[in-house]
Amino acid sequence: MLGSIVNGIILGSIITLGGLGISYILLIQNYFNFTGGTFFTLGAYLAFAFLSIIPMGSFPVVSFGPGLILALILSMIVLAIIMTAVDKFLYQPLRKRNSPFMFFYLTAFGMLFVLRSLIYLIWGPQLKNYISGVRKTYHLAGGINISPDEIFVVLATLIIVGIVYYFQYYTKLGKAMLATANDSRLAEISGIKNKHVHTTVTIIAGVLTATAGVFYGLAIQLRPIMGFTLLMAMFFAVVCGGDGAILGTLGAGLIIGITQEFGSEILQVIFDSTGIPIEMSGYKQVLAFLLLIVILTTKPHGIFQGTFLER
Amino acid sequence: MNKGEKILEVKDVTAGYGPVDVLFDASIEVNKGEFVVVIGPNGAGKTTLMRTIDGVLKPKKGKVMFNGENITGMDPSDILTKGISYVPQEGNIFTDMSVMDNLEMGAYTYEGDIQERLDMIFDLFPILKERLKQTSGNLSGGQRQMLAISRGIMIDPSLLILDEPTSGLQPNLVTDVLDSILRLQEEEDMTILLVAQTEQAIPAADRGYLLRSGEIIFEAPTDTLLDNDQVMNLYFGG
Repeated sequence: MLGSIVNGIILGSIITLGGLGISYILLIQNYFNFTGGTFFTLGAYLAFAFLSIIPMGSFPVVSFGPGLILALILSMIVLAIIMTAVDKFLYQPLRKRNSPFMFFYLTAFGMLFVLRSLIYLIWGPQLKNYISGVRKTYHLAGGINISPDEIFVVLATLIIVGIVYYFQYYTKLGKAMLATANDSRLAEISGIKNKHVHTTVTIIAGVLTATAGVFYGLAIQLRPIMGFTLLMAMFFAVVCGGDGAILGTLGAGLIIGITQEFGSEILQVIFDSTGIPIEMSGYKQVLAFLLLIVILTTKPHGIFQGTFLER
Repeated sequence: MNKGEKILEVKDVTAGYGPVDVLFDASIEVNKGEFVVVIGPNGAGKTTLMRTIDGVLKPKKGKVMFNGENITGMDPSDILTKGISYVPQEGNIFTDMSVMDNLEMGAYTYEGDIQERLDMIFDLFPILKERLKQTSGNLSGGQRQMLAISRGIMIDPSLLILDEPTSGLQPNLVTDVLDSILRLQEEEDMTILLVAQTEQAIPAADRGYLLRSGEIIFEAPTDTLLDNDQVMNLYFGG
């Protein structure tokens, strides 16, 4: 059981990063980016493609080397460029025309299918890994099995969240983004160029989404629907974390990660003991959805809004 | 530029929203160091005129000159860097942000010493210094207007445009806010263009324009404006 909680923390870290990418788009551009999950997958596969030409090398303790870090950086750059181009050519014209938000959602849905088809076309449906062979794993008390790579994912996520938090609340550009989210017209007459803010937000979302995708590939594996299966959990992190709340997204990300892993294990035990033939690992998204409904009913403004966690 | 020279010139501007024109061939001038008021009844086009000057609205006809430069159709953020700061009637503060963050955002493009600007503002509106960490959406109406004006003057503008800054305030607060605006004109050498619907604002100004149904119909020094029976009867109930 403790093992599933640890797995939940690892998954929650990845959900947090992906959720933050979606959260930034929601905060500034006011729509749920359904393509977020597929961009997440694309980020992971881009790093996989770069690793085919970059030697992995090795670091002590963890199973990957500097090659993966370089591939991650390149993936961040390329994904940020792709997301900025999509924003410029698809969403910017919609914003200019003050189009109804349904248009944004439909565009995001369309992009989701286009990107997913492209990923299948280029990399195929087979599972892939950044690292081949057996990875080192620590076997701890309470049935906890954790690899140095997974510890890296959790620690790196905490550091990234810290950096994003500092950027958001303590830098001029971060505050300008909040100002634009609060009142874009007033921001514009205060000298904050909305166009620049939108581009900055898209780049940040690209960087966070690529990182989340690569971390998932590192901690678990690569598959074409990896981002899509986490989409509901990422939405949970965004909605239940509170609009644009960074630490709130982290808290909600960890909650949904643990709920999915721990909850599915508990339910599996129950179903096994009652003889109901259900494989719970395939229904983790249902748990995310159920929890989302519960939170939206009881705490519609998010779990952490107004708490000490967010300024 | 010397005091008294023309700083803003709006020439034959027609503007509106979508297919509907609200302003028709409106022309006004503001000289450096002046306090000019634009008055008129609801729906006269006062806010539309200010939005057009600040670039929020693009005029369909006419031009806006500032310090001799044609700024017609420029983006508001570019117009701000030219030295025009606009404080709208509504949506004039970032309600989700703290008072301090609002002031910082007001100085987003300012390259001078921000602390000097803050000191000047705290001297003008001491209450804001006590509320720095407070979320601005929780401020009282008067404090909100003080913050809105402060946000507008953080960049030390050459021309400050205020759209009904005393709207909805108690009479004693109206006097306080107008006194502060006069201090900005006198002590900070700021040129003021103010939209007003209350007659209290008129005596404070040097000159005024009367706007009706999108047209400038009268322009005069404020004492003449106040003596005009038509103005008083039509727009302020005698």
